[in-house]
Amino acid sequence: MAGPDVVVIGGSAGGLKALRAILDSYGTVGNTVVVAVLHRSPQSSPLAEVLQAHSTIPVREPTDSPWDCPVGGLTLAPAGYHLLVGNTRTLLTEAPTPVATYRTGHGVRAHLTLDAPVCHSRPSIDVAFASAAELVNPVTAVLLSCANEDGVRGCEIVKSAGGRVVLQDPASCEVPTAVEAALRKVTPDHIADPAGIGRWLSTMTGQES
Amino acid sequence: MIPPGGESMSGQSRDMAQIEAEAFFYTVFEHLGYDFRHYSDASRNRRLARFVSSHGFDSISEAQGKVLRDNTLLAEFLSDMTVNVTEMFRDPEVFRTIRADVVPRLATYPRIKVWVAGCATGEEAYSVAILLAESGLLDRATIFATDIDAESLRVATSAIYPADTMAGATRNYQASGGVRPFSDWYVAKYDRSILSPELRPRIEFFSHNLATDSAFGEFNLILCRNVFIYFEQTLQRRAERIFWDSLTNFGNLIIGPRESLTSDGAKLFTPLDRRLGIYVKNQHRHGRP
Repeated sequence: MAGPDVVVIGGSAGGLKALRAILDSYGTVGNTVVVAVLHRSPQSSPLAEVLQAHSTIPVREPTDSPWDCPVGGLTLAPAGYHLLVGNTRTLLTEAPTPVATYRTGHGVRAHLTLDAPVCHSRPSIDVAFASAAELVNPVTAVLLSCANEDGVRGCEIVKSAGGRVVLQDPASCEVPTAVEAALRKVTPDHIADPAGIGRWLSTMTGQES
Repeated sequence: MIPPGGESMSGQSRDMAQIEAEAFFYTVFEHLGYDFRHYSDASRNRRLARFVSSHGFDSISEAQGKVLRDNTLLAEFLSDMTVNVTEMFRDPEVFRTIRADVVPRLATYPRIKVWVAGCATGEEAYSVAILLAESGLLDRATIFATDIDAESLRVATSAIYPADTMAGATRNYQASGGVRPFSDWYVAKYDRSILSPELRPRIEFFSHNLATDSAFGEFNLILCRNVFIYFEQTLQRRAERIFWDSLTNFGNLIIGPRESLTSDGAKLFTPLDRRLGIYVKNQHRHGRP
């Protein structure tokens, strides 16, 4: 494991409210890349501004792809695209073999795609979580209130790749469909209401090593 | 990349899959000429993984041997690697601006040539054709629409789409400033919608690969939207040079709203509306006019 911690947060119905509460108690995110995927209508909406109003953490939607995710900031999946995360890479001018033309780094990039919706959703939480499981970085997946099972499979993939899974306490969810399904599939590393998740993340991630 | 000692199993299998993917794309390029080596890795490898699992292969390496030897499977692979799920008049604001600001300039040319690069199943090409038709320009326009995937081009050529896509197309069309009943532009039949026969003869669909092919004509307008999101910089730079070579003076390049030009590309084109991805060709290759 190397590079900054990566926290990927997903939710849908009630997820925005929960995410705002997380950001309220999170404080500064330090040496961490935070990525958020919320189900949203395909039309552009001022979601980034709404979140920014609640947080001192810089909130950015990628304007390009691949796009470098800022350490210490929150990268928000834009409307109408899947967001995948991957590690930075550098084209080698003198590659050791013709196959290995890139060197993988520890930074994190966002990749946007117009692949088919997953669980009727684009952006999809499963797509983002599954891509995060491939990172060389320590990864924490956070699944919030969500009205369908998008994100459940992603939690399983993150867990089996050695990452951590945090679930919003179903009692605090507007719609607990996803977290209840996730609880049947994985043993979470932490379970709490949004404010509790924010506090847990602030102590468990982003410590300079 | 040699995993350091004490690497977890998951780290090892991740490295293995990564090496297999790089070997796969190198081999496909060397032996078949399709160059995905400089596509961005996360989305490319996800598509490869889906191809491998949907065809029941145990590993990327197993799929590699089969793709090399079976042309039908190769065609399916190319489809899986390239298909975008898009719609007509996607990003209506872009089409509204094309209608208001780009079409009046196109109207000054006796012959209008448009290139839609990476056209997938053709929705964007037909959207442009409708804009030109509504401005009375379609009969002197030719739209060249290219993609690397034969199956996508087959769908595009048919001008037939699932009927349930027309509701979204209609909403987008209206949001883009279209004032006619959108049903003027298609006939619904059973579960299919057939686009107006007025459009199809003005569009030439054919195969072109931005990673390996070169410029093939001179155009007044090039649309290449949501293609660069899949490219690493080195490949995007190649495409930007092709587009510069292919545009007439004052020609426009339109890229996606979530795409930017490379630093080299920014010397070739000047933004008219950066947020919407609308650019104009610089007259001199290095430095702005």
